Amino acid sequence: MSSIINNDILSPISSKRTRKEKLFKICGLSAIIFALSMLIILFITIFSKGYSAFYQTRIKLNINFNEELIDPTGAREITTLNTADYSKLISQSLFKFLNIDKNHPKSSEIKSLISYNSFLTLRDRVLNDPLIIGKTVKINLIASDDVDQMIKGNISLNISEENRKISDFQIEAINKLKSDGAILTVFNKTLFTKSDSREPEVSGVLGAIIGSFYCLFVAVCISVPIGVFAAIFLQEFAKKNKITDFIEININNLAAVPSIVFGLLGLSVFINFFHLPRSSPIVGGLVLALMSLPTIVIVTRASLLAVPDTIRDGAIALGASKMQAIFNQVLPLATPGICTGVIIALARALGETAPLLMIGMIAFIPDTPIAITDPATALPAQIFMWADHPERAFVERTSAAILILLSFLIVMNATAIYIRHKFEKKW
Amino acid sequence: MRQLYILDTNLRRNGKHMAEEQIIPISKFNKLKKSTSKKVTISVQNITVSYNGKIAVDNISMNINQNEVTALIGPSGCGKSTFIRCLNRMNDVIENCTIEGKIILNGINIYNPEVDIVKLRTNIGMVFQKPNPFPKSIYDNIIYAPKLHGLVSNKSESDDLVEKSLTEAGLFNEVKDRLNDSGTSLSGGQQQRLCIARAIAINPSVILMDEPCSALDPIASAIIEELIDTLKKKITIIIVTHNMQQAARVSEKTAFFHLGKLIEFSDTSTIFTNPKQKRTLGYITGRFG
Amino acid sequence: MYVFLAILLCAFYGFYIGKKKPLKLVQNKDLSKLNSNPKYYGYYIFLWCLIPALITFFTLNFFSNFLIKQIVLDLVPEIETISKTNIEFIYDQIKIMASGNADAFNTDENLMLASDKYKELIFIYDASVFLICTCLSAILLIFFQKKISLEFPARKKVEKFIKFFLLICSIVAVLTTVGIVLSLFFESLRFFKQISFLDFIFGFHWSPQIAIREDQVGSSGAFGSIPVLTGTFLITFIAMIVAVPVGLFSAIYLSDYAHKKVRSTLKPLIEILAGIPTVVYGFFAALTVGPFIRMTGESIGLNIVTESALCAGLVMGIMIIPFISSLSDDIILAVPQRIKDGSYALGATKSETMKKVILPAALPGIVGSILLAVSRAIGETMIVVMAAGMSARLTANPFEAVTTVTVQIVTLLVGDQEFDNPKTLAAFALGLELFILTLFLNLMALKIVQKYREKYE
Repeated sequence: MSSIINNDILSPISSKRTRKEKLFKICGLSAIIFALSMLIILFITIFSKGYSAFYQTRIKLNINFNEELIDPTGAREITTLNTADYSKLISQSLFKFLNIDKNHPKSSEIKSLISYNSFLTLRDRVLNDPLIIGKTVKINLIASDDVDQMIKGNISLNISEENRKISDFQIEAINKLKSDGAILTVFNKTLFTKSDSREPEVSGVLGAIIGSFYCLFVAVCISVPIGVFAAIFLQEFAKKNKITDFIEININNLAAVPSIVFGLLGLSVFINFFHLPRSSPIVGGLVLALMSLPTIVIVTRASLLAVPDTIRDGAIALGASKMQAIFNQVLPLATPGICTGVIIALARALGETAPLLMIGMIAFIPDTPIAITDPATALPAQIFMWADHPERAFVERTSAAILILLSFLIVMNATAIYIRHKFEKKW
Repeated sequence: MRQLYILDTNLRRNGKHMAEEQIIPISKFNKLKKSTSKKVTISVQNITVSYNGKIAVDNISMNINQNEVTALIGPSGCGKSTFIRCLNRMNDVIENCTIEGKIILNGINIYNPEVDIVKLRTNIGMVFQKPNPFPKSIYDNIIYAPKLHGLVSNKSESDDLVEKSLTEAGLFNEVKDRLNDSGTSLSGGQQQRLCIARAIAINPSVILMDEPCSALDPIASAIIEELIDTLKKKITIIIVTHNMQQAARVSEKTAFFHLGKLIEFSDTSTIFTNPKQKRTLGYITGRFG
Repeated sequence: MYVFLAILLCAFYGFYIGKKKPLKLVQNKDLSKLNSNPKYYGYYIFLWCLIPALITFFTLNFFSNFLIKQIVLDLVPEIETISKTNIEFIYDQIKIMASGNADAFNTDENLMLASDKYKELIFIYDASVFLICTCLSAILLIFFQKKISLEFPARKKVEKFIKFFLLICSIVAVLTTVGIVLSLFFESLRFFKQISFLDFIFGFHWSPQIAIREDQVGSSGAFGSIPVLTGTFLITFIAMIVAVPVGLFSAIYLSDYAHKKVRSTLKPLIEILAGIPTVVYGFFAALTVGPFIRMTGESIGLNIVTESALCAGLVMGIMIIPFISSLSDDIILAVPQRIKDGSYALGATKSETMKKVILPAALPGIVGSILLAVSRAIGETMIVVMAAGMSARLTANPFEAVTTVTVQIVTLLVGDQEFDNPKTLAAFALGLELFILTLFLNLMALKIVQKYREKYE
């Protein structure tokens, strides 16, 4: 009996099978394309909404520091200087510039072109240098958010005046300022040097960044040592028994517990039971530490596992105790892996919002926190709060805050990847 | 058979010392075969395989005769596994692997871009080093490929085919009561025979065996060897083996590979009694490898 | 503060002595006679000086706080009539007065008295704690340095301590779980004292408005959690409809079809989706996706609200994609190559191999990863807080606004908190429900994945 080639290998398989194969591949490819396009849309949306927050409109005015208005007695007492009506200086110079009588019925509209908080700028100038009184100085003042949005083209001028944030009279004034070169667009320093504010044009993320930094600091101090030590115990010393099994299941489960539950834990244990201050970075840090602990344990165990037993045996054969072998030989070799894992866990903690809501880190806090027990907010919580404001200017700032948060995350993850590549060892 | 095993272990144990006289006892059994077939199934022409630019198989040409067993022997890393995987284009799965040359099957170069790789593999079956039954029932393991290729259309045909394949692979009596058990529940030798049964279920003209017995004990190996002997009446078999005694027992022709090159290829009786090349002699007498 | 300094000083001195003494004991500098490296004798003394003193300090601190509070508040007249939150406030006031900023507040005679007492007590406490802790440290130092001898197994003892310390660290994880369970359980218990347990579990109406004054209209809220749960499941379901096919097909494509180079770029890119903070997704959903869906609905004549379940579910699905794709990718790759080879060698196409051999083999693992993703979606907070609705509605219509467990927890707890109000406590009951639900899913998923891994190892 002789063997026959039962089919001609040149004839293709049935078209149905080929079609199915192609369809399957297309499904896979389109899934990837869908996921990536969502990523791209997300980034484009945030970026296109947020980039304009990095510059800001200023109005250049000649301010006459009129002595009669500031300090008519000439005594230069601090209290007098503190309480003087600086807003009037601004409106006076504005009226002069635009040739408008101060009793004009719409003069208040003109006043609101300049940010309400601008008088603080003048006051600080005077307090720093009282000799300025009586002089006329050119100062760039922050324009109000509506002016800023109009200059950036975010307010449609075609709709009727009642539905517009900015009146025809104001537009006229702005155009005049513009034609005289008094409107400037500069880098938005306030975004990085100020904390939260009710006025979008003077609000910034400094307080939130510091709050986030404090939280992470507390989280690192607690979760890294505890996590690494716990991992060493479980990986190197623990005997396989019911207790260690239980601890292990516990850790794996904790890694998947919803973050908001950690927030509830923080609220009832740290705030209600231990009476730690509400809204403070120390509580936030503690909660984030507990949250990132399981991840750190899991990553550290993986790094320890990757160090081959020959290293342990080598050290022990030289007369080192098991403890010495692990701390002197194994742990240093596992450090790059641990670092990578820790950074990634912290990056996740940095972006976490829900538990912070539970412990009250979403209060309106215009001051920059100094100590870790001061009330503070955190970057993601600030984003959440700003996202709630209806003003267009806050939408812009929310997106900018997101960009800042994302850039922090990118830097952290890039560091982690760098460490992994630089120190990666193949056993 | 049994005596051969004893010989085999002796050879391994004593290695070099027993040297050349070892050739004689093998030939004494007078079982070494010669090729008698005139028909060529596969003609390999100047095949070179390289991974990432590193040459693994270097310019090999040989003809595989129909309905005979061709054994590929050689020390590990000599390229025989890579070579056998070329014959049904299993190397296509591996990235950065380039193959030059021609392999003619039935008058067609299988590396011709028009060849349907799937169709090719239904013609050239393969059995692997480690038994790899799918984590499914024995029945499903066998019927998987026939179903794919539309060889069966109803339950009774399937049952018949499963029975026939398992019988041909000499496994049916052992497993007929538990066809729904998982294929992974069988012993190693049974698993390997299941894989062979799986391969012959789609009626291939050639079966490639990549060290089919290396993971098995001697008894299971012996059964497989007997199976090979039966199968070759229908199917051309190419077998890669580490075990020279196995090559001597089952094959008509033997090819000796070394460092990616085909050193010697001729009738098994010639290779084991009167090799032309010094390296072949050195290998089969255990000087290296 | 001085206490710490004193204890540390003592401990470091102990370290120094502990290290020196064995060196003096050995003759001819023959260190091999010593049981351990001299460092370990130092560590041994150091630990004995430090740890007991610190433990004493924290224990005293913990109890004295309660004691001082009790004594001080007893001086305040009619303390029994003041509500709990007010007591806290008064105590804070006393503390601030004691620190010298008395003129900032009213100078109530009784409070002045109390604050003076507070100052006095604090001084006594500080002084006594300093004495106790420092003495303890010093006594232990003298006692243990006497124990040092050539045969003393210092290294073993120190290592035993370190091992114990490592064990304590790993127990922190257990303590966290215990903390979660206890805090949720006890607050929920208080809630169920006021609202019947069955009403909460099986109630169909959720409107947690509790009147602040008793005479207000609608003073009794309704706490039936069913509509909240169905809302959660609706959004989770929508998220899964997006994430499971996309995640699974991405994993299949990456593990089986994509080239190594393509794979090594695409995989991290998709994983970026998992690294984006959820608050960003929430913002994206509320600002872009919601209005987009509403407008699309309008253009085809559908009335879709901006805060529809569809919007929150869709964005959550996008977030979940990498969880499913990464885990499934690992699981598909864990199926041994020889099994794939077996299928290819029989003439199966890639998709046939995937559908009939690899996926069935990997199914338990994939189910596990999907369960983990479901647990993730149920517990997800920020996206739904920002993009889903507030009012509980019993509906399966994805175009309507629904609310979720997490949204309700946030709305109930953000803002004023009174811990004897069922409104606040309801958040903990919901939290308990959420925890049990996710715990169940997680344990099941972990078990399945574990079993799967063992099979191929």
